[in-house]
Amino acid sequence: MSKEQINIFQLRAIIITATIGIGIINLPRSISMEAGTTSWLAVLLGTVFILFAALLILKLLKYFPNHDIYEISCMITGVYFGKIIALLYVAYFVLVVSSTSRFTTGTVNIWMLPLTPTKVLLVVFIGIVVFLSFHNIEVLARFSSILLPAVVGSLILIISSALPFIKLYNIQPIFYIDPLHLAKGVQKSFLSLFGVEMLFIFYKYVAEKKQVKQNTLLSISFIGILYVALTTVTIGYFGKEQLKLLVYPIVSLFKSIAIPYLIVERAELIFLLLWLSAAITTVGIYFFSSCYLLTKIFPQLNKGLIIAFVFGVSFYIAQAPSNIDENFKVLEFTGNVGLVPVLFIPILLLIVGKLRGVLK
Amino acid sequence: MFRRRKLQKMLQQNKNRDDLPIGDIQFDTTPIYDGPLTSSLKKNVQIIKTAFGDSNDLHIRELTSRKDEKMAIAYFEGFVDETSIGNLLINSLVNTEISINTLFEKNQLLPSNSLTIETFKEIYRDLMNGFVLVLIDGYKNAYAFNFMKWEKRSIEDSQLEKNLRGPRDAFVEDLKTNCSLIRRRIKNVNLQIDGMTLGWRSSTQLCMIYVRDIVNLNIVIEAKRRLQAIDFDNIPDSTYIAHFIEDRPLSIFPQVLQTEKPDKVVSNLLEGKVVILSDNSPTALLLPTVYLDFFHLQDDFYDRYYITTLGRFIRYLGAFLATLATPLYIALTAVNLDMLPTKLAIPFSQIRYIIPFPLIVEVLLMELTLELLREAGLRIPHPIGPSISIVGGLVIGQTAITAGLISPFLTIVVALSAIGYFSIPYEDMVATYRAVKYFLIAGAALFGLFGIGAVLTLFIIHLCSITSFGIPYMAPFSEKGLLTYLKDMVRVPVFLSKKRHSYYRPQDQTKVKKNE
Repeated sequence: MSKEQINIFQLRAIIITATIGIGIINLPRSISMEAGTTSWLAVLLGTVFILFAALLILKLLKYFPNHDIYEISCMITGVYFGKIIALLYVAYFVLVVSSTSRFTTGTVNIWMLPLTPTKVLLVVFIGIVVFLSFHNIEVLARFSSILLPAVVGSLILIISSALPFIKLYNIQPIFYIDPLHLAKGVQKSFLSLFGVEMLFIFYKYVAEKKQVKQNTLLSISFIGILYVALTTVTIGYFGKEQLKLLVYPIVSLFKSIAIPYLIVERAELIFLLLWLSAAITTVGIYFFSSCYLLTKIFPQLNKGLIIAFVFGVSFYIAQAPSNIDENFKVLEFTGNVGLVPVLFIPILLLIVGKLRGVLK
Repeated sequence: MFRRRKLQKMLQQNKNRDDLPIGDIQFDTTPIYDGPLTSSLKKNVQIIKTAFGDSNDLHIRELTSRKDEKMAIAYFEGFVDETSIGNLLINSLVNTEISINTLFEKNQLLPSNSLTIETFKEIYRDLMNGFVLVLIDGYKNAYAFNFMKWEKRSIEDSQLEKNLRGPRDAFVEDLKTNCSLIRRRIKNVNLQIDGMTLGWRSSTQLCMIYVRDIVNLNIVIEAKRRLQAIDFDNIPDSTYIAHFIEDRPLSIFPQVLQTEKPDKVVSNLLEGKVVILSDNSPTALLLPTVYLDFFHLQDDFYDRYYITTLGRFIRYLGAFLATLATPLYIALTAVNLDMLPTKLAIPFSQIRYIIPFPLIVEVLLMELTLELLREAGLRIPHPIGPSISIVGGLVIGQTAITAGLISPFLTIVVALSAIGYFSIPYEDMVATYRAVKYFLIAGAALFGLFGIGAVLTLFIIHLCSITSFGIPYMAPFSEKGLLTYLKDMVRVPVFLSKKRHSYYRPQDQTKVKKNE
């Protein structure tokens, strides 16, 4: 019927659900390996940096309120380079999809369905996302805003259920600062907070453009604070030495907590189900965005064909890591690659745009 | 001998030599004249008679007045009040002292609400709508009088929607009565009732009702467009219209709320909805509709809000049990067995050891039995009604367990889901939930809890993609923050809910007159 439009709350939901994903399970371990008891500071600084990245992206988008990244880069660098830049984004999105879904299905395989092969779980998991991608942007926005309470709820569930069991000596010393390790921790938290690049796709569709900046910054800070609490609580519960040994610290946390009056055993499964909603929204948004950009780049192709192609590629890449260790490496690699679309390309586009006088 | 031949002849009489071949259809090609009237009374009467094929219930009486003017009155039997016709119309027509045309021109007839008619097309339409027509010899026009009267059900309690408190009246099959039930409740000039005729054979009358200064006019325009686009010969009930005008007619989720209670209709009109009523149907269609509407009853607003809020959550629990009790049982006993506490897992597996079927077969057997009982209970005549409970409860429930065919735990679970169905207020949603449950059962049987989550996610995506007249189906959840998310689920006290739901996009946002 009318033009597709999303409201400001839905944009907030998209940013939050895109950002919070496997980070819930992954983040405390990877940061505390580097920064130890100062992890809270590392996450905080990482949040500050991602806020700057968001400001950068918003600065670029301010010049083009009604265009997505493909159109922007075409306008600034010409169609040829524009297509390459958009393809870079697609590649990054597909990488996020495959590494995240691989990690998720691996987790499901280990904790919930040990006898089911990961390939089958991958097909089911990405299949849901494929179904989502056949719909339009409004549907995606509604989907992520409906699952938002579950996503944030799973985070709050962890924090609130582990909070009573924190041992203070685990989080002390609070201000033990080793610059090199802290920097590495900041880098890791910075990478795991990616998600703000979704503005490049969805900003175009927001009705209330004036509120975008404030809301984006607010939601990133919200995630940052939750992540600070998450890492602190996890470190406080396990201690940094034990945390290094655990592959899935948060799941283990639920395994070790005895929740009174909960009839079912294995409370971690309930948590995992909640957390799956966080994973599916992240993967869904990235998968959708890659299909969206590809349909923009190749308008002559059928949408179903593109979705099938993205499905095939991400399924293939997701199978590549043979064990959890390799999967962590792929995740790290994905994070590092993410620097290009989140940080470098916006800077590049800003500079080129200024030089060519496109930005006015 | 003679008798036998007679019998044979009798038996042969109705026996067709050949079957009717498919292509052999005789078309009725005589065109029906619907042009202007002629000045000859005889000819006019003849045309009317041929048009209706000299139907048995068409009454045409030819009269002659005192002044020797010839005329005829025509009407359909059963539609009109024949005593009043005799007393008022025929009496004054026959016994008049002045010429009949002046009688009409000066409007001196007792039943003065007459319409002047010039073409046969109008004659046919008015006759079928219950008017009495007067044709006069020598004039090229006819007059129609409203003597409509037919048998209709009196206003009673609704069989489908029972309520404890609040008004008991429900819609009947008569459109005018239904409209008056609404008009009597909203005495405001802005209540608009638009008429329309649908179904090119049945010519069913429709009413589209809305409050002009509350409703979003885009919805009205869109609804009108969709109604006018309906091309079908018969509209037997307003539910037919619902099937035609839904945004996603192939979805299993109902996108138009159907109700029989005028008080529900009125409070929805004042929320900014459009109501469609059809003649011969006691069901009103409310549109646009969101998912949450199917869990809210009008009674909710009559009871105190604590009780209602509790009741609503019981309803959500009922919906949860209706869909998820059986799938969760499958997931917990067949796939994610380790989630069960040991004290529960042991009896479960002990009983499963005796049962001869695999779990999924057992579950499907039980679920299908439930569906059968439900269907049978609907169709069963009242006097033999109790037998179904004996057969269902005792034979299938108790005996099957004693025989070791099904496990008692499964019976409890299926019974729980059946009770869950009964707590969902609207029958359309119950039907949907029954279908959804089988998908969830399939998911649970394949992947346990993960499968349930996957199927639920697919359904959430589908629900997100539905719109009802441009209003997102999941609007209460997907448009504002968590606070409104919860606010629409509970019942806010009347004195605090001064605003209309924003998701219906009404023109007038507030319910109170003075905005402090």
